Amino acid sequence: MSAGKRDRGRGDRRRAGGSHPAGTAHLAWLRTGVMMVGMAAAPVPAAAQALTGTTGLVSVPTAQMAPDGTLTVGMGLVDRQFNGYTQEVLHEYRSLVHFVRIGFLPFAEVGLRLSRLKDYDEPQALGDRMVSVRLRVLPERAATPAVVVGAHDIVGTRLFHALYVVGSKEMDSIPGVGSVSAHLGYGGHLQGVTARNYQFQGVFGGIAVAPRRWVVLMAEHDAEAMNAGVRLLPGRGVALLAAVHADGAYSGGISYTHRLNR
Amino acid sequence: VERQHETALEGTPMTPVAARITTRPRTWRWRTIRLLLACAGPCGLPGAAPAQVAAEADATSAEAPEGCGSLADADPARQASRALVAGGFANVAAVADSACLVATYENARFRDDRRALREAARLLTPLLHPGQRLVLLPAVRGIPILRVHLPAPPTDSGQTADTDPATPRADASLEVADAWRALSGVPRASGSAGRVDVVVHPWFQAIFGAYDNPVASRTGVAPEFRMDVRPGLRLSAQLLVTLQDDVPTGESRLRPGQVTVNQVVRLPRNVFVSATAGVFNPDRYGADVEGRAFLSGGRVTAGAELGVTGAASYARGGWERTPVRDRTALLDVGWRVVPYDLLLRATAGVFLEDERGVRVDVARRFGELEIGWFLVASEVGENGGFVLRIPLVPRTYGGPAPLRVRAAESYRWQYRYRGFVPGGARYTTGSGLMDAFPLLNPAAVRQAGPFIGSGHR
Repeated sequence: MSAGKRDRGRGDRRRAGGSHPAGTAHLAWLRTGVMMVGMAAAPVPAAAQALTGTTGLVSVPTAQMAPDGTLTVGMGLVDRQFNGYTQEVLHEYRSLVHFVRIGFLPFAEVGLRLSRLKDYDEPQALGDRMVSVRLRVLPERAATPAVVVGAHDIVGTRLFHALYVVGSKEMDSIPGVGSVSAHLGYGGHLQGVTARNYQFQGVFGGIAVAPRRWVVLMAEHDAEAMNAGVRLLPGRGVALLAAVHADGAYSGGISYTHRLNR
Repeated sequence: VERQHETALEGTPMTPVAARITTRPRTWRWRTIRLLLACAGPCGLPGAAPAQVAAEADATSAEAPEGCGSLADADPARQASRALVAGGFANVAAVADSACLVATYENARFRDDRRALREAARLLTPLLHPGQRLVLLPAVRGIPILRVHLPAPPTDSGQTADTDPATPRADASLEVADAWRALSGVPRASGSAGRVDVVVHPWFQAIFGAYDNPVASRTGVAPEFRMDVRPGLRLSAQLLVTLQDDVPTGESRLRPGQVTVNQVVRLPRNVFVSATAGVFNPDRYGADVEGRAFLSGGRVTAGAELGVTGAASYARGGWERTPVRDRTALLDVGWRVVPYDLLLRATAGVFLEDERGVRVDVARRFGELEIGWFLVASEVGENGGFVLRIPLVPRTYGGPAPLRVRAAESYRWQYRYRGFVPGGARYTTGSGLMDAFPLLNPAAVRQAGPFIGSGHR
């Protein structure tokens, strides 16, 4: 990817951020919430989808995987700043994303996503289709993290292309906090792969704290900006996600996970 | 256990289903048709022989499979046949002696062949004597697919298959010849020849991506009239009924679908051949021959398919055809990863439109749901997509009958990422060998129940 293209994407994010000066207050509130959590121990949070369908925090992918033989369907309303990765015209609009995530094998996860701009008057046909594939190359062990390599938007327009390696380590039942998972990744690009835009370029990562079985608090850096969010797991496979971005913009989503017969 | 076996030997009480099947009045017309059809075939799939006489044939002349005796004990064989017929199975036959009970059946009742296998084992296990093994041969269209050995109940001394080294463990094998020969002279009860199944398929076609109509679709139903005439020979005629259509193709809303004659034969060394002639989907007609070998207990499969077809569509009240001169020639090899019920398959050769290419499929079954991915690289470009095979309700069908209407077992749908790139196009005859015999998948057998062990030998 050319440096100019990368800079353009970052510039879009900055411009989008400039329109939400109140956002920093929300972010500070969430950060404070994460830090002040001091509740009883809880199980490790189940691997859940990020806003855009792959397993992750708010937007960054993690090395947690969809459980083998599970099917997740969901949708999310994604703030317009995420479209700043793509083209300048698109960052004026929010996206409505629909996704399916499949735990295809114990070590492989496949995601399909359809993104349509909201309130965009021009014809969009189906919208942007994205295929993502993630493979776990190392399982998590007592002393070492799980490691996953992933590729997003591997065919077609590659509006949301990403190629990364990420590691995750879960620390179960920390007294007074609950279960905590930490995630660190690095994204780059392959020579010869032509993408219109890239995501997760550079170091990204985040932390998730689950003070209770049904709630996960998350903070992350997506290689460009900070995001924070809360995921609620009311049960029966339903997950609700609300996020606030560094510029104060909001995103949210809902998903349902079903275990397939094996 | 002994009390259970004594009860079984006294005779399995007939369930209402059994009573209905064995006492159902049949019209002279059906009897005549079935008699004619039975006479037309040299063996197998006879007309509906009553269950009571199923095992009264000359079983003493049967050639016993390994570990079995003379298989001349008519009483338990008769009970086994009766139990299977009462359970809704077709083309049932059984032979028995003190060491073995050998039975064959065809699944006409359950959507899932694994469930049918479990059900057959469940019905017959209580009939076993102590020390007597059960050998099951599930068959499809008169062709034996598999031999399943089930362990004997504990003997009086308390020995079981697990403790007696002389008793074979439960297992499944594709080597069916011995056991099938043992059943060769036995008339089949609840024969399927001449019976007509009306199998109702849903169909859906979508063209995605046009800016003015992002999802152009056609939806309908396709009742298929299906009749097995003799072992391996099936006549099939399908009617396509369009219920919703916003794709301007000009095709009639009511038109013929697949209309085929198909013959499947099983050759030695687990080689199957399927030959089909007629009208195929979508919009082809001609002839097709597929040969397939199942190796390593079904874990590896290698196949070849040759076809000569032309285009055919029924539009504006008549057929529009091109000459039969399009040749397709495809070779494929597949590998099943049994623990995951995963099929990796590569197909190469000449697709329709004389297009040379390669297609790679990765498909996994989650119970009866199949999810797969494919990539195609051919002379017209690369494409990819996914394939879904979704089971349809109900899980259980009505018992065999001269004319039966039921839903299709599943619905298969393929999505191509580039909808307007036709790479790797091919037709379907409706008689593909990979789909016709689900129990040739060792993972499926393993899932049928822990009693079978680790799958095919």
